[in-house]
Amino acid sequence: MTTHAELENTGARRFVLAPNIAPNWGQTVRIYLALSAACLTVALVCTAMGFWPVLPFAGIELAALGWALYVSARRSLDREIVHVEDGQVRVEKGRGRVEQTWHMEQAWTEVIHRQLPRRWEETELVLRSRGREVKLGSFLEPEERRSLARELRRCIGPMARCGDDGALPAEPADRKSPVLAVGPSHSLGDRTG
Amino acid sequence: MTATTQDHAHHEAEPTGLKRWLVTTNHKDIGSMYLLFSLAMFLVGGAMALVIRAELFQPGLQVVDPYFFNQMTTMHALVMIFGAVMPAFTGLANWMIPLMVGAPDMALPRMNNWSFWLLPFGFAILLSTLFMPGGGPAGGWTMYPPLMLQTGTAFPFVIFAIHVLGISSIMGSINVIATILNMRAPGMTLMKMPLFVWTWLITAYLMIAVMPVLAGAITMLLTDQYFGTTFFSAAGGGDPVLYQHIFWFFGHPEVYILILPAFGIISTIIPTFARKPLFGYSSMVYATASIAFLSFIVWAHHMFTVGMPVAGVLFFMYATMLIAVPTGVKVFNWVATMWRGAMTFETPMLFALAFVFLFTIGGFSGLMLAIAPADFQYHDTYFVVAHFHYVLVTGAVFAILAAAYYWLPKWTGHMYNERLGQWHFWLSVIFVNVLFFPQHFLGLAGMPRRIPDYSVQFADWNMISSIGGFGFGFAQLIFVYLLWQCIRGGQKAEARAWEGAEGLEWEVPSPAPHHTFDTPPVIR
Repeated sequence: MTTHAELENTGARRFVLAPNIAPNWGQTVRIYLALSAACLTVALVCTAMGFWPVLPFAGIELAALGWALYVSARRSLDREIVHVEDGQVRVEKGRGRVEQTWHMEQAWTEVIHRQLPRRWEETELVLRSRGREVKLGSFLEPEERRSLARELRRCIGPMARCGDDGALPAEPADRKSPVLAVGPSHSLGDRTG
Repeated sequence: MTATTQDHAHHEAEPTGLKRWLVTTNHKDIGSMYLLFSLAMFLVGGAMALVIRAELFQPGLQVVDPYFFNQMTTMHALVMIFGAVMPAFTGLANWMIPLMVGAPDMALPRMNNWSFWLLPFGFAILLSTLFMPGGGPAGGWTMYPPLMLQTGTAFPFVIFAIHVLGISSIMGSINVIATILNMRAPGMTLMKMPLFVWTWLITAYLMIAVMPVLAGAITMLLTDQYFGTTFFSAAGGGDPVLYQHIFWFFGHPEVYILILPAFGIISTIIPTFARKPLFGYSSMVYATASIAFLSFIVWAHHMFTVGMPVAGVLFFMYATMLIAVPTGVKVFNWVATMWRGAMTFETPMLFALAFVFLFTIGGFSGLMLAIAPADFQYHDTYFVVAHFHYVLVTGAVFAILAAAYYWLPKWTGHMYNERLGQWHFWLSVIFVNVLFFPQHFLGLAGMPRRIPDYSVQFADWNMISSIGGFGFGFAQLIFVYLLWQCIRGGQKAEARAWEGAEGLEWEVPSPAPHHTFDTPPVIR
């Protein structure tokens, strides 16, 4: 899911990228514990009666379920935020807090949306500036990524202010690396998307 | 500041070819594969049933030898349970749950792909055992020792195949639970979920709880055979009856695994064609949960004749009878939903109505079997065969057919041929009763199950039953043709294919685009 905001007075723009899920951690934990209690009770009774091979299967299964629930719920905290203002592009990424920040110059950054070789159906969206690339929206659907790329091209790149939203800009002449910084642990705002 | 949520123009450029199906992680693709695989297994298992009915057409041995007959009864059950009904429900879950909860896909798409592709692999192993020295498994789908241990070369392959199918089911269940708990659209609380989603959540819960018991039981069979353990061998201090206990501790919840999603389907279809909201939504949820709970404490009604203490027999008898209460709530709610509704009788509704009527017959014969003193007479007779086929064929299979007709327009973008659908329904419902109803009489008269030959007094009803079997089998070819026709073309379906249909799945176009709900829908 992508939310796009534009400040009316300054023209600054902000894109918030989030997975399209809204889990309830407390509910998930309660249901997992209830399921584990039922499954382990059965397995322990079987073990007590001498049928111990039931127990490892129950353990493996509950571990797999716990892993699946954790992995899928944790994804809801992922955020990627692209700020475009004052000739700068700032990208923040993190899970629940800002973990990484990139700064780029708006005019010297290109938006690349490409098909990945050998990975069927997968596309990749990156911001490239002075030889460094920042990948965006890996959790988005392909159509959504394409749409985001179109929106970003309207405001990022040397031709953006001319209204060009399609053609790729020329490779920047100055190839100094963009600033890469690990940002402070401040909140990424709305976690529910 | 202005904020907008982007509206995405979908550029359909879907890849095609074999690779699409091999590596796809899209829930709709995987759902379609599950459903087609299930249909193929339904036809394979059905062919096995026709071998059985051909042999039983008249007394004496005419078509197959008794050992092959026993392989057919065993494989028919394994194929229908693990290959046809369970994958069909998983396919429906894959297709519909993300659409119903407003999620873009299942929670773990790669695991979803893997859980499907384990199925053909497992069934290739299982079916290949028919060609091994000594033939396939012939000890019944329950695999009781010591009979099962007499299987030839096929034995370890059968155990391995069932492990593989179990892993596939577990992964499917894990994905369903993770999707329902973590991928629901904002605002969709548990008590706002469609009943099909609810019944699947409870089904997945049951599967997680009991699958380790099956895995453990068949592993112990394997170690008894090859590694010198004596879990179920009386000679080494084990107990073969305990195998029956732990098998049915898995087996009875498995019965509900096969029917609970059907309850969800019927609870979706009846309100649509009665044009009324479902009567008693929350009581349906609680009834489903109650049935799931009770399924854990009734297993020994499958084995009243093994010689349990009277107190145990009484407990299991009364506990089994208790299941009639929540099931009765469901039947009452379906009937109350139809009461004074503006009903129309398209094919999905016809199958749903047949479900309500015929499943209830299966429920009543179940109540008869729950009465322990009577069960001593019915045990292992054709009465039991009639009972569980009323529950599984006119119950689970009819619900799956109803679901297929109901959601075909959403899947294919075309309306199916209603006239053919009606032919399919009427032939199915007539022949299925010709097939299974006489088996009640055969059982009450004392005909044992799993025999290739029988006394002449059973000849007439067996002949009628076999005619019903072939009629029902060939009627299903109409459905195969209808399906093929519907996939190829036909009248374009609207987004809301049925006038009275409610739910998020009807908010997206028909056919449902490859990717849906990139932006979560608003739930009120």
